[in-house]
Amino acid sequence: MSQAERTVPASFEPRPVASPAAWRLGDLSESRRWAYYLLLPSLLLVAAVAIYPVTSGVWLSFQRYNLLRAPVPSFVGLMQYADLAADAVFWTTVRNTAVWVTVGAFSQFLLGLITALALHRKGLRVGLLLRVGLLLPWLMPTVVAGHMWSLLLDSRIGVLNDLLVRLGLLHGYVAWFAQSETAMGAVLLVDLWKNFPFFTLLLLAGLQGVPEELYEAAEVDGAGAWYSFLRITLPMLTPVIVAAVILRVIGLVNSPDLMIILTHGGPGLATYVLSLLAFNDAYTGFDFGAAAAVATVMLVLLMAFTSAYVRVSGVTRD
Amino acid sequence: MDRRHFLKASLGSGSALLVAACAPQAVAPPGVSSSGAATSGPAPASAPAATIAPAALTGTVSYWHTFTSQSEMDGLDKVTKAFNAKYPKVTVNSENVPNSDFMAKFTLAVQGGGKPETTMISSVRLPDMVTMGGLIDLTSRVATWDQRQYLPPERFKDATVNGKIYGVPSFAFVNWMYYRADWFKEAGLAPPKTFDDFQNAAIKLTDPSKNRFGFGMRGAGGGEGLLIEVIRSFGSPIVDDKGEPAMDRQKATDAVRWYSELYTKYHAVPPSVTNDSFQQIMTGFSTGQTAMLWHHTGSLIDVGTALGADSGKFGTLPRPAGPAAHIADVSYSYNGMSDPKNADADWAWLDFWAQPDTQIAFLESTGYFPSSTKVADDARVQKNPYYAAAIETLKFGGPAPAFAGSSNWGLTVVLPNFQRVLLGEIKPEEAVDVMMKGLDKAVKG
Amino acid sequence: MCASRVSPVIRSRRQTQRLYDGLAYAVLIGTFGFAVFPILWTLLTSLKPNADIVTAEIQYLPLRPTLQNYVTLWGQAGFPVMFVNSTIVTALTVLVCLAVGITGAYSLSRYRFRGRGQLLLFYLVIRMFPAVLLLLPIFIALRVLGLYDTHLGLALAYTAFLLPVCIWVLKGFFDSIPPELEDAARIDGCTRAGAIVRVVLPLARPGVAATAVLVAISAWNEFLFALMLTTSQGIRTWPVGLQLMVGEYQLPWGLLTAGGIISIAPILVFFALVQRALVRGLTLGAVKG
Repeated sequence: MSQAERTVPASFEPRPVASPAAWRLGDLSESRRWAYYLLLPSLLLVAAVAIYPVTSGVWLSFQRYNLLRAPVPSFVGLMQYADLAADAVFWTTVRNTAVWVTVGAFSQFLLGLITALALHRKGLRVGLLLRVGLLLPWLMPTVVAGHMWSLLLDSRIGVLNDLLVRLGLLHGYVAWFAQSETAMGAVLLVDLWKNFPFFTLLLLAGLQGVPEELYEAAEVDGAGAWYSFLRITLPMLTPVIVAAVILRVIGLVNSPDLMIILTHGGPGLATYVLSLLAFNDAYTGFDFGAAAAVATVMLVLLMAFTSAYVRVSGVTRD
Repeated sequence: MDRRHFLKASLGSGSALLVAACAPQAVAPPGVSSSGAATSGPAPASAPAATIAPAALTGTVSYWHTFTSQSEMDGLDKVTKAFNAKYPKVTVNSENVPNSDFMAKFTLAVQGGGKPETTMISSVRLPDMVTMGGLIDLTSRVATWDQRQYLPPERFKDATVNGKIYGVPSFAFVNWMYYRADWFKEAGLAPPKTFDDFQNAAIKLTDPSKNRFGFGMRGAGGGEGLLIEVIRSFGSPIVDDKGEPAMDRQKATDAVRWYSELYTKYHAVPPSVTNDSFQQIMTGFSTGQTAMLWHHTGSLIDVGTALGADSGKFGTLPRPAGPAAHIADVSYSYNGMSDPKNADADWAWLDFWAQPDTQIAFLESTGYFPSSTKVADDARVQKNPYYAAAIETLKFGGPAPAFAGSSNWGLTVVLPNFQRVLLGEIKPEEAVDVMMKGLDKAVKG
Repeated sequence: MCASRVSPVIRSRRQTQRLYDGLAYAVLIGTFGFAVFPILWTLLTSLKPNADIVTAEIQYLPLRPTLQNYVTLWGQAGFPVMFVNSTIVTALTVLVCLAVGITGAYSLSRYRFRGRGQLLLFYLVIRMFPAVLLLLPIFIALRVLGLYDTHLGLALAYTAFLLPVCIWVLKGFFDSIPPELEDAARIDGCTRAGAIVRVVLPLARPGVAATAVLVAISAWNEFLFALMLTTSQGIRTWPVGLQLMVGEYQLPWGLLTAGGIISIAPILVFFALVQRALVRGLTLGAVKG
């Protein structure tokens, strides 16, 4: 890999350490255990808040614990999982979740990427207004965004319906969330709108870290835009892409908020996803054992995806 | 070290709380059982008062509620002020909880601590809240209460579990029907009294060229309650007197078929039906898309504001009668006790809501139908032409079938499967089979 | 071609460049329209009186524009306080997350040790489990620690969830800064800590800024934990206030949209402040010695 030659500005010149505190920190940083000291704060915090809740959650999935029927948790082994496997609704949610996550992640990544590439383009006049405008959907609280979109796509007074009819693209208002064919697509559209700026933000910052010299060198060698993109941009962006995709996939699997506002899993079971199933089990059915089982399934699926993706992309390779 | 200590502490408190939550009967609220003697108040002839002299009663009362709109908050404000005037040493801390997350927050409090002293309870939520050990038995307090004369026993039915009373009714939601009186006049139709009339009117008033539909069916959240009313109108109960599943497959299927055909066969319902919840059906009715709307007295002010209270555009009617029964749910909003810390002050708050003056004040702000018969006899209620339908409904209407787990059954079994019938994915018989299976599971566990 | 003195190869490259420029503008305008239209609609709706929002004929521009919704919303009991609470909690969360996240991410980026891969995954675990089931343990924990219904308590709960985001994103940025630069600084006499502060952080400024924005937005808009871990007498935050407006039978569009617009304002300010840092990284990289 060619080394980017970046000179370090004069202000980076090391100075003799003055204060005792700095001396101590500097000294500390020279110790062999420096890597671990750096890790300690975050590790402690996450462990303290994560270990107990997650392990108790997983443990709960092996219990029968229903506030209405079995208020005292009792160990039942794999019964909750057996019930899930036998439940057709569960498998429907798995299928729906697969569609939801795949299409969602891809569409959001793609739109975020082309927007970041366009923003990064040298010589374009891109004002602050444009930059901020592109970020706005992500800033909007979900409760407002969800209700606004359900109003925009409303089959009686929805502005988007009105515009599409006026433009001649539709004959009449469509009840986007009421038909099983369009419900998932409509919710995916809202999620795309809300979350593509996440990718734009990260990918743009990543693009700005790619040294100009690499592109110039490639251009001198006669490389086209495509070649630069595939051989320079994407590889340099990989760490950021992997991080963003993993975080977004986790977000897609785990948050039912938008779904609850827009369709609550309907019509029928068309938009019923795993996170909604867990939510309903817990707070409508008060069956925390069943909810824990669904949650553990989600956890396992996510861990499998994340490990596989991380390994394939080589982000943690030496 | 920190982590281990923390883990031990949380494990310890977690299990302690679980145990506490698990034994609801063990929590004997201090004031209640002995209250029969201690709180038997002054003779009914005197002004309605709490047992301890109002000026002397002290304590803080926390109150969870789901009031949202300006009119409701105004009403609550009025009631709180009047309460403070009567009980100057008692402080009421009201906490507004978003309606959709109420049960989640309540469950968390039951399991982890922090239950409110008093809370607003809706009919559908009460059985679940009792079963998880979140509400306190009020039977003995109610038995000696002077307001009983104005609150007939059936008003407590929704608040009674296993013979014990857990809530005091504060106002009523009487299920009724709105209809476009002007459209009916135009078409020369009489207001519908039976399901046949209703279907007939819905079909006649549907006019796609004018973007008009006969009936704004609620096919999303909340619509399961309406379907259950239709099922009962066809003669199939949900559970019997002992609480055992008692659905009649044939009658329930007829009901689901009749109701769904309004959309699937006659297209008298807007095509957005499977995503139409309260917001949408209200929009439909207010913007002149639908001719008839099934809801309850709580929305009277909203409909009046949208269409004009005296415009003659709309009217109210009791629900039409089904082939086997005339069914209309009357549900009450109850106030109950959750944490017995200040039992007497809490009871004073609960009692206050049932006082006729309070109910009138609240009625004036919100239009919500009172729970006290004394208030219902008041001229302000009797003379209002819209309330006539509610008064008539109270003669035959009653509580919806509610049992621990009924909310969940309605939302996750009845509703999605009804939506699938509407979408044409399954037949009514198949939907009823799934519903009955789900009902067995919900009741028997 | 005869009139031009420029060689054909360079000319066609310029054409390609212009084509790509045009494409870029098209993409930006299209995406901008897509992103901003619903926001614009939210703004317009917030300026209409309620009676004009749900009407048979759609009103595009407000016929009777009014700021009443904003006035009513801000005047409603508790709303300004909720705004302040949200600001405090968000600020705390960003500070703690960055402080703790930068060190952790740096370590994971630079040092190879056994279990590094697994540790990275471990950080994500708390995000992989649905929040609804984590509520009770965290609720109990905060009560036990006496941090229930406090700014710090909520900020800590948020940090636990946002730290994985911080670490993964920051690690990604640290990864793309060549370690040779730090070696150069150390050869010149810097300590490792000094090298981080003097070399890595300035170069990672875009990444740090981006992470700060991510954390701030997530913390600002978070609803579920805010609802369960706060009370109206204590530190209830803004998103809870917005949700409170959505009742079983009511949805005041005017107030809700006004609330949405008010929500965006502080984040916009924060982003405007931070976005200079996002751009600065570009100029730094372009300097030639």
